[in-house]
Order: sequence, then structure tokens, then C-alpha cells
Amino acid sequence: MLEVRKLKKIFAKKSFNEKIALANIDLHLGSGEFVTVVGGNGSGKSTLFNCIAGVETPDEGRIVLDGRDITYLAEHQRAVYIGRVFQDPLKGTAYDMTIEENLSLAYSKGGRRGLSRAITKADIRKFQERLSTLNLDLEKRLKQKVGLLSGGQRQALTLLMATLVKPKLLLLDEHTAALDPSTAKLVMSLTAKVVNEENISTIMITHNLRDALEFGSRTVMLSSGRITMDIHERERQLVTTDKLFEQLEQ
Amino acid sequence: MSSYVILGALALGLIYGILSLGIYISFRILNIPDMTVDGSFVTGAAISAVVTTHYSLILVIPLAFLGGCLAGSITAFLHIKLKIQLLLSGILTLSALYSVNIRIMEGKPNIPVLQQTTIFELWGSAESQQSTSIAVLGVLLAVMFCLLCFFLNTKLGLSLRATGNNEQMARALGVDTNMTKWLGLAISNGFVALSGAVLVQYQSFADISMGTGVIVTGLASVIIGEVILSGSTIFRGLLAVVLGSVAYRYIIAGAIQIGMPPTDLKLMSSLIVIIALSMSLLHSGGIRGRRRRSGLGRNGTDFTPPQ
Repeated sequence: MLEVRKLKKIFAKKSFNEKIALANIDLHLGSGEFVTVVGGNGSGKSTLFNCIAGVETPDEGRIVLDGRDITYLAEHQRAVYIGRVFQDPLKGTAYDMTIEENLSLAYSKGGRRGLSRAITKADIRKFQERLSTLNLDLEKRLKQKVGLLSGGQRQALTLLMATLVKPKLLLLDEHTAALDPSTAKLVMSLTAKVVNEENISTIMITHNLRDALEFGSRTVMLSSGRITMDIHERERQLVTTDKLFEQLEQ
Repeated sequence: MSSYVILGALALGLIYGILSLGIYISFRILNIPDMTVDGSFVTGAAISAVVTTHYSLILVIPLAFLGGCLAGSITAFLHIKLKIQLLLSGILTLSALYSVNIRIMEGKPNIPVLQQTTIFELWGSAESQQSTSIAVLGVLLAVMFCLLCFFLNTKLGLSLRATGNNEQMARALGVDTNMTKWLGLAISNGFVALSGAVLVQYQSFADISMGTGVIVTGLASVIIGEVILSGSTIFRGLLAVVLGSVAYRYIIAGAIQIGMPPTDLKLMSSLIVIIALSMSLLHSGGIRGRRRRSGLGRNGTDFTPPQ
């Protein structure tokens, strides 16, 4: 599904401050696979995400998504295939637009953004149906501005928007890190639900080691721009959070 | 106030209402201050004067609008393709437009259009001149208002608003934010140029310096409008801008009536905008709060708090 081949990214190249963010990353993701990524600050997790999403252009290597080379495709063009949820709940939604307008923007993904009406009656029914799966009563608040929602509600909405048109790949960048524990738990369970139901290939960055081992079927550890650990199903079941923490410390 | 003054202020309010809608697009919807408008306003005016003098009156509105779109597109090009800061891009275009506008006006700094029929004289008799003008202006503003309101509720319009609201999110959802910014700046300046063109028809002359400070006029109208009518929908937001523009003209007419010299207008406009923009800061105690956060203030050495 996703193939990252020999990816290299160097910041401030050939200067005193040169920093190798990604040394040589090879990562293959199967269809419907849910991978969690752990690693300390500066290990290259976010750079990897930014390269896959098109925010950064890698210096070397290839990124192939579902058979298509997207290494140099513009961010907004590849966004059609990639759903993203950010750490900051404010980043994933437009605060001064209503819930239905936000959903309409997400719903137009891949389609033409022309001069047709943004929100039709059929759209509203679809939005209500999908919102009701969140169990946050947002389906009754379609005409309210997103700025009025709490961080957890906004993050749940962002998750819904990222998967409203089924993406080929879902990128979750510490998307529960800014939420309180109970809200984080709720958003995490919503994540697992949508990913499993829709069978979406997913990569999730997290600092929560328990989440890293609990969700998905595979855990990858990054350190200094390299993959230092890559454990799958059975192997992963034997690893405890303590062991993972020790590994991270090294 | 005489009825002449009252109707005159209303007419100007409607004309500058189109300008304010344009400024609302860049300032509020795209969330970027666009300096181009001071130049594109005159571009519209110049096109209006020349087209009225030499060509057909029917072409005034479309050509002026297109001229404005072109001016906005140049600013967008400088900003998006050449990566020049937006504020500077606007200033560069504005400065260049001075020469371009003079060229459009055939080298003359002003053109009177007294001999020719204007769009306001196509209908009605000489006695009913002012009320006819207001009717024509009202229809024109209503048409532009409806077109803009419709546009901002289409899928494309929504992409434009999302770009101003949260650019990162817009891109993550597949919106080509460079395209939407360009489109927004073009349409915004199209409205501004149209406003300038209509003003020339109304006052029967075009002047190279008539654009100076229109950005402040537009901003003042937008801000006054937001005080009059708080808008949760696009329709209310746009209506507020138009009401703000008319209210602004009455404030000015009132000030002139009580003896303020017209040359002080720009000073007053700037003050209105400064006061309105600083209101939110004053409400949150922001001026003092910010000093403390920056490490100055009570315990600092370089700032002594007022007693």
C-alpha cells in the first residue's frame, strides 16, 4: 500500500547546523495495516510524516502510495489520498466556519470544487448520519461554528473529516496528546473504530507507549532518523511498555 | 441635514459599499491585508473615465472589474510565485499602478466626464437625478452582493474561506490554497475597481489621487458594520459591511456639517480604524498584560508603570 524507500532528509544542508532528520528510512505498509510509531523528540517522526504528506520534500528516496509515486506531488494534490489529524485540535478544523461547512470541505475531497452549492440536503443527511457515530450530539449542532466546540469534540470532528472520503492512508500525529485523559481515551476508541470498520491503512505517532502497543498490529521505533525497531503481531505481544521504554532510552 | 446631504451620503455609502465588500474579501475572508486596493480603485476609475469618453458605456462595468482582477492577480503572482511578502507585494503593485493608471488616463492626472452621458443619466429626468442615481446604485450593489453571497456558499467559495481560516487544514483537505488566494485577491480588487468606476460615473470626473487611503475607508466600513450587526452567517456578514459603509458616510457627513474641514477626513478614518482595532485589546487589558509578559513593567528597569 505505502512504500517508503531509502528516504533521506537533511535540514540546513552543508551548514554548521546540518541536521540529518531522516537517515535512510525504509518502511512498507500493507493494505489496511495499522502501525504505531514511537521515538523521542527529534527522532524524525514528524519529518517522516511531513515527507509522506508533502509538507516537506525529501532529499533522496521515493514514496509510493498504492502504486503511484507521490514523492514530488504537491501537498494539496496528494491530500486526496491521505487523511491527516494533527496534535493541535485547532489545526484540523476551520474555527470560523460551521460544522457542516467543515464537513462539506472534507466531503469535496477528490471532487471538483466548483460553483455548485456547498451543502445540499443529501449532504446534511449524510453528515448527520456520520456525526451520530461519534455519540457527541454534534449532529444537532450542524449550523454552529467549530470555534465553539471543545478540543476533544474538535479532534473527533477532525478524525471524521479525515475519513469522510475514505483515504488510502491515514496519518495521526500525536492526535490525542493535547487532550485530557478521558477525552484522549474517547478519541482513541473512535480512531480504532473507524480504522477497523473502514479498513484504512494507518500510521499513528504517539508518545503514549501503552497506546503504541495496544492499538494496531505493528510498532515501529525511530531514533536519530533511523528505524531501530520494527515489531509485528506475536513478537509485539511479548513486549511490555517497560521494555519499550528501556529501548527508547538507549 | 438637508435632503441633498442625506441622499448624497447614502449614494456614496452604496458606492463605497462595493469597495467595502471587496476589502471584506481580503481583510476578513482571506485574512490578509491587501494594499493593492489603493491602486486598483484608481484603475477602475481611470478605465471608467476613458471608456465613457471614447467607447461604450456598457463596457464600463465589465472592463473596470477585469482591470481590478488583473491588478489583484499581479499582487497574487508576486506573493505566491515570487514569494514576496504579501504586504510588500501589495505596495509594489500599488506603486506600479500609479504609472499604469496615468497611462490609462492618457497621461492626464484627471479626466472630467461632464460632456458625456453617465450610467446614471441613462434613466430618469434631470429633476429626479439623485433618486435615480440611488436606485441605480442600489440595484448594482444588490446584484454584486447577491453574486458574492452566492459564491461564498459554493464549494469553491468554501475553499476560499477555509484558506483564510486555517490554511494548513485547507491544504490537508486538498484545497489548492495558492489558487484560492489568487482568486480571492482578484475578486477583491475587481470589486474595488468597480467601486472606483462607479464613483467616476457619479461625480463625473476621475483623478489620479482618488484612491489614496481607500483601504482605510473600506476597513472602517467593515469594522463599523461589525459593530452594527454581528454576523454568524455570510449573508449577515456581508450585510453588515454594506450597512457599515452607509453608516460611515453619515458619520462623515455629520462631522462636516458641524464644521470639520474635509481635509481632516483621512485622519478621522484612520482614528476610527485604530480605535476599533484596539477595542479588543483594551477589553482584555492587553496593553498592560503584554508588557508584563515581555518581561518589562513593574519589575523591569526600562519601564516605570504610571502611578
